[in-house]
Amino acid sequence: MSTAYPFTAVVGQDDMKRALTIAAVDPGIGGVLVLGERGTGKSTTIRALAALLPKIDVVKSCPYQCDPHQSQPGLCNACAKSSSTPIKTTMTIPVVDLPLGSTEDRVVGALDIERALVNGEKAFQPGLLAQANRGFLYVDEVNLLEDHIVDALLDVAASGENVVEREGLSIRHPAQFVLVGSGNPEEGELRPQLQDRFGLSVDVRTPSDVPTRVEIIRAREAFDKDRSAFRKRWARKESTLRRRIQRAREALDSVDTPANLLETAAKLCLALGTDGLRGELTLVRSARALAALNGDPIATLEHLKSIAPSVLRHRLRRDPLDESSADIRVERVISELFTDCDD
Amino acid sequence: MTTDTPSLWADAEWAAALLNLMGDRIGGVHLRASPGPVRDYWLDRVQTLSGQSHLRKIPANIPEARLLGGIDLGATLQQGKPVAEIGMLGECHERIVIAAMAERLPRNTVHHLCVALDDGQLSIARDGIDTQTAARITLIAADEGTEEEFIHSALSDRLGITVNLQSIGIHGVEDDIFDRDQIERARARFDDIVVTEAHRVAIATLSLTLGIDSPRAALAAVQVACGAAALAGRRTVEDSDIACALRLCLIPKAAQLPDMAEPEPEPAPEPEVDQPEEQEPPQTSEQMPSDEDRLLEATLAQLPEGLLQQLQTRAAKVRQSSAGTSGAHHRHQQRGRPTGVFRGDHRRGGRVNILATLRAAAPWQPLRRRERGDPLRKLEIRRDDIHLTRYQQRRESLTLFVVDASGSAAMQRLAEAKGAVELLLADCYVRRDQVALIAFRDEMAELLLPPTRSLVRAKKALAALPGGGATPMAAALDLTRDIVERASKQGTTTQYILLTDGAANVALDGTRNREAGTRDALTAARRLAEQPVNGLVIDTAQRPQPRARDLADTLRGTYIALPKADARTLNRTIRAASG
Repeated sequence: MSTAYPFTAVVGQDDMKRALTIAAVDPGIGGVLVLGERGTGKSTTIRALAALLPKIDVVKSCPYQCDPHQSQPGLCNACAKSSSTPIKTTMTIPVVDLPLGSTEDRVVGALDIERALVNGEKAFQPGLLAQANRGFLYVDEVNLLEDHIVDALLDVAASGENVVEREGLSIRHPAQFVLVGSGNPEEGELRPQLQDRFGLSVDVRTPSDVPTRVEIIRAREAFDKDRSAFRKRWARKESTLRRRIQRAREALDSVDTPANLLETAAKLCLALGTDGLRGELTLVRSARALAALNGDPIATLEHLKSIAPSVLRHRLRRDPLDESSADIRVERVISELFTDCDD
Repeated sequence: MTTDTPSLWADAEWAAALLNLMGDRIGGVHLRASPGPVRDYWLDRVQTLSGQSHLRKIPANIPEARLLGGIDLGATLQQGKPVAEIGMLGECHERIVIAAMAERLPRNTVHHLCVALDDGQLSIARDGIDTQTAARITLIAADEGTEEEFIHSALSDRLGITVNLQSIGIHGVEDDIFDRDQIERARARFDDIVVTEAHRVAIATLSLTLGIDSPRAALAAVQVACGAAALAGRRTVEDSDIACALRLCLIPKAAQLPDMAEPEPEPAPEPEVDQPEEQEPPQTSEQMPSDEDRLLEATLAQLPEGLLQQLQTRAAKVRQSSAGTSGAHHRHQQRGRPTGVFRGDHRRGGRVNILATLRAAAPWQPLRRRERGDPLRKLEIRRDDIHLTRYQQRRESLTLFVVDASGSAAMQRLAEAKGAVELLLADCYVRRDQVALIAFRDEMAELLLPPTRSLVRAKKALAALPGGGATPMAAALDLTRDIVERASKQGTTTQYILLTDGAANVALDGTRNREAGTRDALTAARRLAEQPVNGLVIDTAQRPQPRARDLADTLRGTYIALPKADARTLNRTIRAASG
């Protein structure tokens, strides 16, 4: 959409913007959960991300946007079987909306009725999960999503593969996507399993100082008055960030990860008592992605420290009654740990 | 500064004009009014000014398929392929629509309205259809204007103008101010309206001073100020336009009112001296330049008498009530949600799922055609193909804690009761129950926490609960009945847990009298007992007295005496009794 609000023009909300950018650099981090009150610009920012994403190579007319440079696994059946060199084309990384009220058949895909009726052939009509392969899947108000849709998502998000067994179809196709969810925590809790699927989580708040508020008003006014002029004014910043993401994606593999970083990550997770290994892995990956984004050749403790709250916030073992915010707990442990390291 | 005070009706008339001028920029209007001639007349004005033949109405119980669009049954069957049908939101693109009884809208409907208001379009992915629909609507969300029932905060946040017709009687309706030509002229002027930085700062500051968290209100206020200037035939926004925006957009959303009782430190500031100050925005809301003070005061002075007081009581409640109805907005889960399809016989009831039926039938069509030797017939569906939609009827449940915080229940017992409630809360979390909390002491019983799933809020409400004072048992039981009744209307199963020593000593009329208090309490208990609800009375007296047991018997609830129990035993007992 050319009329979307530019990502870089979103006033404040640096945490959210950084988390989304990191997820764009390394899709393997596992998505971003954005929780916050009304009017914090959650959906605006996330939708704005679409315009910022770099282009990727895809196999032409493959419904799953398979990567022409990749060999098995991770390809759809058709692309895997094909012996000839695939025809390449490029597309912008897809950002697919999973609207509330979607039915299961559209999410996971189903029998293509038209072809079944006309030709009598059993063809699969890919769903939103197919469209989101190698891209982003955005669920607004993720905490209100129907349970049976959440179930489908959980499974696919974990395996990176969508398995459809219905209406006599037996299909499996790659579905690796960055899950981005947003919601207002006051309206209901997120299922713990789903929460765990997100790599990063951010809390957004409404800015409460006058200058920021005025800036929001001014920006919005200018945008409403003339959308394309507004976009033009931000075009340079947008393309700078786009190039930065592109470069970071390329540099990601060459970022060094010193041993003490791994160790600190493990210590941090141990001290916070987070469940499973996922926290540790995500912590290291995010630190690397952040380093790549900043153009640093080595992931350092500083990177780790600054991204740790986003990685660990939602992984702390839940005491439903503990009021002290997760951020405070994470920060406390970090400061303890890092004073130790300094000695 | 304008000196004449616009009447409430004049404000409403302005709102109707602004809605038509720029409704798509500010979302629309939150209309607070009980049904009646005043409301009808106002809606009539909106329609007249809009030139629409009528205002379409979104019923509260509209199915998602109708709201968003889905499969067109007739066309799909005829053409043998899925044909999309445009939903109501799409049909109302660039029009004004009313959501009557907006406080009853299910949460999903609220969400779709919000998306339409935000993006002006909807993406639809249901029933084999995957498409985008333009749906730039201007919404009038009408509730009945009572204090208990509010439209969902996500929705009211997106509606820039609030119109309250509650205090306008039929004689308060005045002559029309605007006609369609004026609105058209204002529209032509609108894009050139100039807002000064000082006015932006004023609105941002005022919105913060009034305790409005969401920036949307301020965004709308700036637009409304521009609209007001355009309607008044000006090219620049003036103070009176800001005052208008303040009245229509900000004050109705206020969560707090600035302290107006304090005398002005400088009784007569010269406005000219303020001019250089406008160059730089103020750093914090505390250092409010007198410009905003002046504006706010001017506006408040313009408000009709009585409204201010009404606002003050509302301001105290607004935070609680806006989030408080969240229980009601989960209704969709209670009414049963489609959760899948299954092969079944439609003659036994149930709703046929066309798409699944078609899918089942599709692969057989060539075969069936051949079998019949009738190539012209497009589609043949047999009984075996019929699929029905499965609905899940999930009963929501609510645990209502009624805590006696009076002096007789003693501070220590109160602490124990709090502990028990906290443990039970953890249980409710596991079961995903909603919880609510009523506390009673001194003269009144109060719903400290409306039904919610947020345990953090429950805990905060509990921690803030003070103790001491008399025991208004009857009032507490009546309030309990209210909540139970409201919950059961929404299909929620409720259980209440009453923690008390049973010593009622405040009558319903507020007099402190043990006899009258006990009598009223027992009457209230009988009324509550008529409700289909499970009750549990926990006697928190040091030495169990018959009065708490009497109360439990009247309530037809379970009685547990816990003379010396810590929170954990208390919790275990409750679980045993309610499980």
